[in-house]
Parts: sequence; C-alpha cells; structure tokens
Amino acid sequence: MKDASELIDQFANRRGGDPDVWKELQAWMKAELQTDDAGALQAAFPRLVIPGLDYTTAVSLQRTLKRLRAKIKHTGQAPKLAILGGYTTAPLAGLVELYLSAGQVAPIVYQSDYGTWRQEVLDPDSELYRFAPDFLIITGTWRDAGHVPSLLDSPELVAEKVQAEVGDWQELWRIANERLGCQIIQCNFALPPARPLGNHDARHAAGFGRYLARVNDGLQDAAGPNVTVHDVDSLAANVGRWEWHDERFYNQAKLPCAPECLTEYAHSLASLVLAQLGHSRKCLVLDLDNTLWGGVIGDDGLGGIQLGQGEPEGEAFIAFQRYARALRERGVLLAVCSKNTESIAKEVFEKHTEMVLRLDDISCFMANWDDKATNMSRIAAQLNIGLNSLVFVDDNPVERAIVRQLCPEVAVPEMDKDPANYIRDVDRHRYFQAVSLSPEDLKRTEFYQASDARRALETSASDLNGFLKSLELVATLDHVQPMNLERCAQLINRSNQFNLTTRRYSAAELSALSKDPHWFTRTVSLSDRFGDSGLISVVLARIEDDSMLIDTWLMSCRVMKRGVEDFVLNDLVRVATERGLTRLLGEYRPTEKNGMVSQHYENLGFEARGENEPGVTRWELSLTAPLTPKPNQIQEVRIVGH
Amino acid sequence: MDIEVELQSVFREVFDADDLCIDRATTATDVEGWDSMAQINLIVAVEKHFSVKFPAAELSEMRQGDGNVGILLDLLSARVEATH
Repeated sequence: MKDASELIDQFANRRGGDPDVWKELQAWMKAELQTDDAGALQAAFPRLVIPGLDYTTAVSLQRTLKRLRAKIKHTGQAPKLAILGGYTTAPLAGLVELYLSAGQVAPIVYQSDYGTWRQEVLDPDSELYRFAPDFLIITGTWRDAGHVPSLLDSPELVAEKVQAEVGDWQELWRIANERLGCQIIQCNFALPPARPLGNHDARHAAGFGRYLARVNDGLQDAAGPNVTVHDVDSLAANVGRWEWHDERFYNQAKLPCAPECLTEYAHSLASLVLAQLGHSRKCLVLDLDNTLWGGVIGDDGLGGIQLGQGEPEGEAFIAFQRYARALRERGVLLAVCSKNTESIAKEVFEKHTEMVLRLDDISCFMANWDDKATNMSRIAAQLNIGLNSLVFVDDNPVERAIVRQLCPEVAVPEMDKDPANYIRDVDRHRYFQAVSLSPEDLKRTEFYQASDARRALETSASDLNGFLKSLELVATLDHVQPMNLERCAQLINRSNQFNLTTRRYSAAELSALSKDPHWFTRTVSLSDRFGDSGLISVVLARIEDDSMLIDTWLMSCRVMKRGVEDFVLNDLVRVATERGLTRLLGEYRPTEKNGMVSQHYENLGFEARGENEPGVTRWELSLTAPLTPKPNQIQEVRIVGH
Repeated sequence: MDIEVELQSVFREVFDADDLCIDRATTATDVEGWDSMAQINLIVAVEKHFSVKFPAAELSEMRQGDGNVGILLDLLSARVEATH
C-alpha cells in the first residue's frame, strides 16, 4: 500500500474523484479503525474533509467519523446546533457535522420536524427551547416565501410585501433571541432557475426573482450582530441554478437542492459556525517562485520571471496577487515563506513594476534556506498567532507535504499546476470566514480612497472627458529595459491595428537598440480605478541631426480612446525639446490591418510631407515655436526612465 | 458491462457492507439500513456510477416496498441502454 499521507494528498487533489485512490483510502481507514487508538486516522481526518466532496464519498466519510468518535472520546468543542427547516434537513445536518470535524468540533444536533420552524420558535414550550441551542439555523427554499406578489400588484404594494416578508423572519429572530440569546444563522433564498417572465424576471417589480433578491437584500439589512445571513443564493449561482435545483429530489424527498450540491451547502454553513467558534484562519503564507510569479528569481532574474500583462501565465500570477491583496485589505495578514536569498527576493517587490503585492503588504518576510516547517513556527511566533491560524500556499508538492507532516495545525491546500486555478484552490476552502468585518479590519487610507472614487463617479459628467476623468488614469513612463523587454518584444511582434509602421524587432534587436545612444525608446504603462492594464504602448525613435524620427509607434487596442496618444506626443515633444531637436518626423505604412491610424499624425497636428515609397506617407511636426501640450485626462504621471 | 455485478458494488459502498450480496429478489427488508434516506443515497450513487438520470416517475416506482432490487435493475438496464 502507498504511504497514507501520499494517498490523502492524491485524494485531496482530485477531490475524491479517483475510484482507485478512494478504494485504497477506504481500506486504510478500515485497517486504522482496527488498531487500538486509530491515531493516524484521527490525525489525518481533517485533511479528508475537503470542500467539493461528492455526496456518496461524503456520506461514507460520515460513517467513518461516527466509528472514529465511538472509538475515541471527543474532547474538543461540542456546541448545540438546532436546525429548523422548510425541507428535510437530515442529510444537510449530517454533512454539517462532517465538515465541523475539520475544526475538531463535534456538535450536538437537534432538527425540527419538516416545515415546523414557525411553531418551534413561537411556542415557548417547544422542543427547541428545551434543547437550548448555541446556534439556531433557520433554512428554507423559495417555496417558503410567504408574501409573493402578483403581477398586477403596484410597485408600492410589492415593496410592502417585501417588507412584510423580511418582517416575518425578523420577528422570528427577535422571539428566538429573546428566549435563547443564541447566535442565529438565517439562510437566504436561492433564486429558482426558471424565469417565467424571461428577462423581465429581474425587471418587473413583481418578478419572482427580483422579489426574492430584494428579500435577500432586506434580510441582510435587518440582521443585527446576533444574526448571520448565510448566502445560499451565491452557492446556487456558483454551482449553476439548474444543477442546484434538481426538482426530482425536492419532489421525491423534499431536499432543498441536488444531493451533490448539499456538500457545498454544508461546507459553507459549517464555515460560519467555525468562524463563530474562533476557528477562522488569520494569515496567508505565500511561497514566491512559481506561486506569486512564474519562474525562479534566483536563476531567471528580474527580467526573466513571468509576471504581468500580456502572457496568460503572467496575468494569472497577477490575478492571484490581486486576490491576496484583497484578502489583506479586509484584514488577513500576509506572510512570505520562500527558499531564496532575502535581498534577491525582496528586490522583486521593490523593483518589478508589475508586482501587485508590495513589501508593506507583507507582515512577515521569511526568505532563507531553512526548511519551511521551521519557518512556519518562526512566522507564527513573529506575528504572535498560533500555527492553526496559518494557511500555507506553495506550488511545490514536496514543500506542502513537509509542512503538513511537521506542522499539522497549518492548513495546506492542494494547488493545481495551473496558476489560473490558484485563486479557486484557496478560496473554496473558506479559510478566512469572518464573523464581522469591522472598520478596524480594513485599512483606513484605502477606505477613504474608495469613498473618493465614488465621489468622483458621482460628479463625473456624461461626456467623454468626464468619463476619462472618472477613470483616474495613471501613466508610468519608462524606457525599454531588461525587465520589460519581453513584453515590449511581444507588443512589437503582435500589434497590428494601432501600429504606424508594423516593423518587427526581436528581443535581441530591441535590447541592442535600447542601449544605442542614437535611439530613444519609450514605454507607457497605464492603470486606472479598475485595475492595471500594464505596459500598453511602445515608441522607438532614431535621433538624426536635429530630428527625432519615429520609427515605431504602437499601442495595445485595449486602451484605445483614452487620450494616451496625445499624452505620448506631449512626452515626445518634451524629450525632443530637452535634447535641442527641432522637429519630429513620423511615418505611416499602411497594411491590411492598421487603417485605424491612417489619420494619426494628421490628428496630432503634423504636416504632410508627401510619400517616399508608394502609399507610405511622411509627416513632420516643427518644434521651433513652442507647442501647447495636448489636453488629456491622464491624472498622474510616474516617470521611471527619462 | 454486467450491470448486476456493478450494482452490487454500488450497494456495498452505499450500505458500507463488503460482503453484501444482492439479487433480483432482494428488497429493503433484506438489507440493513435500507430506509428512505438510504434510498436517496442509493439513487445518487447509482446515477453517478452509471452516468444516468432517472425521471421522477421511475424514482417513485423504485420506492415500491421501500426498495426492490428487481425493479431497480429493470429500470436501470433500460436507462443505461437508452443513455449510452
């Protein structure tokens, strides 16, 4: 038999999907249950309880858990959970119990009879109050909505019905809270997939989908600190609504969704309970090479790693960094744990222009050549949190295995080989579920930046300039240099539309040219309120006597019509003037694809200077008289290279 | 594919009994734990294993006497043939 730990990794990687692995694992678990203390199974069990298990596997694991608990007395937390449902709650309850075991929590569960939640809450002598739960979970389906409007209702009447619906649930919370004082978890309504009004389902005041969405909104607004609204609707949307609402199982067994979706329902619900019990993780520990960027910084250098716009992999790493940054902004700590020379690793954060994460995002930077398990303990000690608060993300399965083995308290998710799936592989675990998001969790300066952005949007005019202003464009100017060489070469060899001459240069030619004093190179990166577009424009110009000859001028089409051309011209004029040059010379070489820039130089105020080859037009802008800079809406300019 | 043999392996998984043997005459009273909940678990496992989906009417038919291997086998064979 394979090593059990390896087997569990394989299981986690395929989410139990490989029947051979599962069979072997079952055999191992059975053998473990025959031993005196089943210690290895007890220790490994939390690693088996992963999100997205298929239903049959999850039910089987439930049985194993039961046997394990019969063998080893549970000594951890044992909260009392009452589940009141408008449907058959037993399968969900069993799966919630399974997922709570990941946090070493063994709940005592009470379930009301099918569809009797109102009576249970209203009747002071009900079983519910004798049970006296720590958590009261109220859950139904869209069928339990009690104030469904009719299509003939006026919008005002519909609004009243929404209020009445929310009010009904609110009243139940109030009574339960008065009598129990416990935490209430209210599941919201998963919108049904069918839309009899078609697109108007979301438009018409009495459309059922719109009605439920407004009720869900109202529930969130009405919930005080003692009520957590569980967003079941988002689960249904993530899975796909037709798949989630397999009516056959409602008709047959009054299940709220397809059994295969119940595991997701239970995992999400359990994560809320675990958060209340203080089991949420606090810190995301990140490896660097092939986790935050592609390649190995120590070997490939700043210009050689994959990170940034243009390459699918580079974009995937950027997206993952953004996700990590979003976590940090809501109060999750970030740490680095990497086998690297510290100064080399830090240089990427300080100097690579495409890095989203910066050194001040990282609360603890651990780059050295010691083993990662030792470093986990150092990080926990330095941040003054427990090992059980850490989540460790590393693309390398060997590193993951070492940390799992030596620091079993650290959560170590299996990661896909494709960086495009990194976000999913972390997010689906719901590690960082928070009870509440207090303002202290959120970084203040950024909070204020966000309100400024909103204000800007509010005041933005409907004209183009107002729109561009509201984008808050930031341009970064640089030269062609080793770090952006690959991206420049890629733009030069791929851009066809906004490309005045369509001259192609290899990376080597480009590199040589960037060092030649007779050439001037310019790159422009652009970002705005919605994010970073990366390096989007390249100009290559030759200096001859008193002229700047624009050999190549191209731009990525994703930033068309943002005034970047005007901005670049201002920059070229500035540079040429500083160098004492008297004119800019431009050239347009028509191709099948670059028709959009045939008027480019004319629009910028250049004068026609005829053709030197058939079809190839030449243009001149004289610098002898001072020029008024072209107006544009770039709000901020950062100059890296002059 | 011998559907009866494969079905037996699904039964063993669902009812967690390695030595469970079924035949056409097996009913819910013969198998420990074959209640209405186990019936749902069984359907989910069978649908997944054989990549089929039973229409609502067939789900009701299978519930006769709370569970009946003969009926299940007939409906499953027809469904497998229709699907694959």
